[in-house]
Amino acid sequence: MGGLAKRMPQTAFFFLIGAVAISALPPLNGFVSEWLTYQALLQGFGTTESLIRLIFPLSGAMLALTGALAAACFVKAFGITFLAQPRSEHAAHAHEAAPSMRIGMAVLTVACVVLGLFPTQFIRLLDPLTQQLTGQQLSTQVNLAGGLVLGSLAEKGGTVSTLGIVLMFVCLLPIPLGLWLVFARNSKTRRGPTWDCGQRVLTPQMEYTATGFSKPIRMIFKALFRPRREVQREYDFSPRFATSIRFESHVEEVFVRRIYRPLRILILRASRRIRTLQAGSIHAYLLYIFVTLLLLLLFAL
Amino acid sequence: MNLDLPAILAQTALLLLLSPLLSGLIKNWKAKLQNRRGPRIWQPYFDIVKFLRKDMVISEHASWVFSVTPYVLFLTALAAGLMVPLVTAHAPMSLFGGALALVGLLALGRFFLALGGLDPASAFGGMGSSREMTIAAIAEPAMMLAIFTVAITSHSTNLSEMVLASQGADWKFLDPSHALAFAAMFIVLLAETGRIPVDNPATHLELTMIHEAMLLEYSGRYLALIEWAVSIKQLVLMALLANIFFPVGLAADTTVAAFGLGLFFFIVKLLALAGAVVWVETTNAKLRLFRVPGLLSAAFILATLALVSTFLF
Repeated sequence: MGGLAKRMPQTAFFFLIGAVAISALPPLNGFVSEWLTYQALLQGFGTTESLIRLIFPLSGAMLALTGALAAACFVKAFGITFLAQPRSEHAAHAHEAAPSMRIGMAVLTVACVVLGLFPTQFIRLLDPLTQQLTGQQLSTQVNLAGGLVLGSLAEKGGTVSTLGIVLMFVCLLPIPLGLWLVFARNSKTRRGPTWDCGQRVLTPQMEYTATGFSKPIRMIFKALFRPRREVQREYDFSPRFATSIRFESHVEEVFVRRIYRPLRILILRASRRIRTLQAGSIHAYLLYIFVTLLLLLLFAL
Repeated sequence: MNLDLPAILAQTALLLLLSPLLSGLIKNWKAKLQNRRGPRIWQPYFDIVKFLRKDMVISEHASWVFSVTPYVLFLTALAAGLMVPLVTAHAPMSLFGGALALVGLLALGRFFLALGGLDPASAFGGMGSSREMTIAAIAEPAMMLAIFTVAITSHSTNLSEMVLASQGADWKFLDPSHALAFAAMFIVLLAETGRIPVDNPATHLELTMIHEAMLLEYSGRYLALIEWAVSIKQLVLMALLANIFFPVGLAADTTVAAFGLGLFFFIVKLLALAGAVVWVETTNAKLRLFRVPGLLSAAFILATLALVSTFLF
């Protein structure tokens, strides 16, 4: 991959909006959800006096970690796929998909933007639910300033307006544009090669790869990932002049190994035991029904 | 919805004009403390104007993302700045977002800067982006926990409300929860502004740079915009620390005298924080990259202690 932003500009744009949204960055829908979650955690802190309530701010911190890791992940996903030089022959000859396939992405992009900018309109849809559960309408409490600003349930608990943030961007944009007019009227822009330390051989092989990009994170959380690597080198007279080199890197799937696999084994073992019940003999089944009936009668008595 | 237009304009102007001075001051003081003469404190203004006038060279590999990045960085830094109380307790744009929006806006700027670093196909840019996103990922929980601690005592994520709450009767200069949260936030400030134990703002040595590595391919007016945005971000974070933890001398009413006094106190607080940053930068060596998580975990633990001490005291 790589370099697709130039060859598939529309796909790149849709992907970028999606990446910003999922990384919980303003002003899109992911940010609104995260903001509401943080507010709920703050409210939750006030509901109890016991030490248990420490869980609320600590889970807020974990949410921040997840958000920031998601951002790192999607910088990697977008950056390695769409930016820089194409890293493969296929990527170099990529072109936009058929319009019917782009429409799908466009719809999702529009949904991200609309949900992000007008959250108060959609919170209204939740009113029947909150009315049933708590007897109160949510939307009347969190909609401020005619639905432009999203508020917290608590008095003065905090407000946010994604639409307002976008308006701020629009109003502040004349500052850099004005600076261009004042100072940069005579300056020219030209295209040039990327600085390659004067060697004039900048190839896609020198770019960061996805594995390289996430290496610091793997190293920091190595207690969790247990990264392993294997390097095989073939050489004639000195290991410094390798004729061929093979590199392999593995990450242990902690959750698969420690949680899902034991659980799966347990379930399979239990179902194997239970299977003996279903022997295919109709007499046995009649016996089960009879015993169940007896037991039920005993309970009824 | 009442937006105070003069206040918005005044705060934007203050952010734009004061931020290069703060960067210049830190550079100058740092040099003085190391027995060098150092650049004039006005040097960042000259740099910005010089960069604005220069021609631009854009990498032939770069796409439109590269050109969008400087604008996003500049606008997010300014928008975040308008949500922070500077001279008065009332930030002009606090209705549109508080502490959470501020963190989000700065993260949006960082997201784009990391993409801008990857775009020109240079290995340096990729290295900078990778490290920046990693450090941000481990700094964010500490920052959020410290903010939460303050938000819990003030029952609000609105920065103006936070400042008003800590200005009130509860505020004690050495309240343990505030002091510990301040220590955590100070470490996060060093990480977020790329200061020495985490990153070295003065180096262009391949293996040590983080922030500068992402900017290597920027030139001319885009570089001016990025440099300015970075110093605005620094001012915003320092103002956040200064006003939340030391809410002294904020203008209470709208008279000229109150504003003057507020501005005076604001600048004094910034100078004290800048002095602390310079002192840390001069007395410490840059940490090896994989030692940085240790420092930021310390910030996280300090923030956790701050949180626990809200119960005890």
